[in-house]
Amino acid sequence: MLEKTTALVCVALGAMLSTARADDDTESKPAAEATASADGGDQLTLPKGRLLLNGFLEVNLNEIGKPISLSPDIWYGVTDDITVGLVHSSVGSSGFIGGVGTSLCLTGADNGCANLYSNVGADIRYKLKSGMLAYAVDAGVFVADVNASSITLAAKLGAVARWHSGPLAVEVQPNVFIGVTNRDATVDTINLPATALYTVAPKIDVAGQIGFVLPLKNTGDAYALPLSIGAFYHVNESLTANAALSFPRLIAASSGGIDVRTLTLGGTYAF
Amino acid sequence: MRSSHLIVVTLCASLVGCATPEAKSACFPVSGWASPAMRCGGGGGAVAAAPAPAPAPAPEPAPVAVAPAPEPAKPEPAPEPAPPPPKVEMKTSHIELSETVQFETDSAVLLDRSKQLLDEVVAALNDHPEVRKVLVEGYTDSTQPKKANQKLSEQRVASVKAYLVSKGIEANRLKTKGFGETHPVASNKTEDGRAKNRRVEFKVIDRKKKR
Repeated sequence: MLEKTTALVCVALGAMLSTARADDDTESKPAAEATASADGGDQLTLPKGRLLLNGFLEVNLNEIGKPISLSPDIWYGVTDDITVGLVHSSVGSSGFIGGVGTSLCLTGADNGCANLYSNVGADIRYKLKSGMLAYAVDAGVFVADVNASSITLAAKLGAVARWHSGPLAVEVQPNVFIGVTNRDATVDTINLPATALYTVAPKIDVAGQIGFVLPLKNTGDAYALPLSIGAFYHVNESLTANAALSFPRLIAASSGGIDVRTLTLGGTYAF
Repeated sequence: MRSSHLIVVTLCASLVGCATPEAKSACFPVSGWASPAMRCGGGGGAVAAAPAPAPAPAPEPAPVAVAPAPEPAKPEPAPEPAPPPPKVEMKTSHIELSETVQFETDSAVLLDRSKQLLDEVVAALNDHPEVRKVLVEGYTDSTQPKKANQKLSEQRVASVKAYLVSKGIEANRLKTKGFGETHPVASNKTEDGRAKNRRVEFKVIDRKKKR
């Protein structure tokens, strides 16, 4: 199963690479004075030298506040095409908003925290295309538990795509996590998050996210279909605030339903 | 565990230190959970980077005390700040703009500051009646499909012409042509290059000959 999955991911990434548009159409035009206008296009990496900080305060609502965790992600544009990140949040790693209890878990072992600090990863993105339809490939190495005597390490392979037209945008982030160490204790997992966003006012967007979490072992008993709804508020050109109500296991073979729910309060600042 | 924390904090501090202010170009974060996602070179949740501000006027000189006069000396009157340099200059073959003509994202709607720029184009055309006809050319980058770029460039130059005409320029002095993503002046692989390729140009195509 793992081999098949890996092969599928490789084929998908290869197909995206091969369709990436070669736009080095630098047909020079003599005496052309560049007086630029602005078209605008989305991209899933940062321009060279830019830094972006995402911070998420995650609260369990099932037993309120048990736990509460804080997950910072920091991204840096190494070149216009390559961005690297130090990632803690669930959305930064799997693409799903609404995780809780990882990264910096603030409420202690008696209130739902398995560890004070866990789930940290190094991520790298490579931009394939920007514009109305933007996409990039994504890979990373994640440590599930930095406190364990033997580190549980997983590799991530994935792709990110975003399409926008007018007030509507859609994002998909398929990825697969493959256990590298402690394979007996980990389960390789495919994540298929998809998000729709709609601009309801010049500074306000609403969003809905749905998808599948598909562990590759006992899939029929362990799959989950998460659902999140959220909103974004653009404070200014650099700062955006967001909030999301999530049902991480809205539909699941076991332990699912609306009783499992979380609240995420986030902020994004671009330096 | 402490060493892990130290590594993380050190990495964060290093990355913050790496952010270059000059790189804070016309890109800003967009809403979504596929972060980092940016929109570059256009409007949306926010607009493109503003042009560089005009130089601030010189500060007033400090009052000069002249002893032993009992009354404090009156301050010298502040010098008049130098007028800002013109953003539009009529050349022999074209009208040169020192700023960009900007539109809302994926739209032909002019931004307000670009209307002010076009007001100066109007003044230049009024000051130069010998310029009988100007070709307004529109270009885009190559991030959108070719047909969409062609259409957008045509709509944008039509929008520029409509604005100039609304300010009193005779319609028959203006001709428009959209070139879409053709004739790039820089590589479309970089953001800087794409910004240069998104442009509006004014070419003088008919000028009354001097006797």
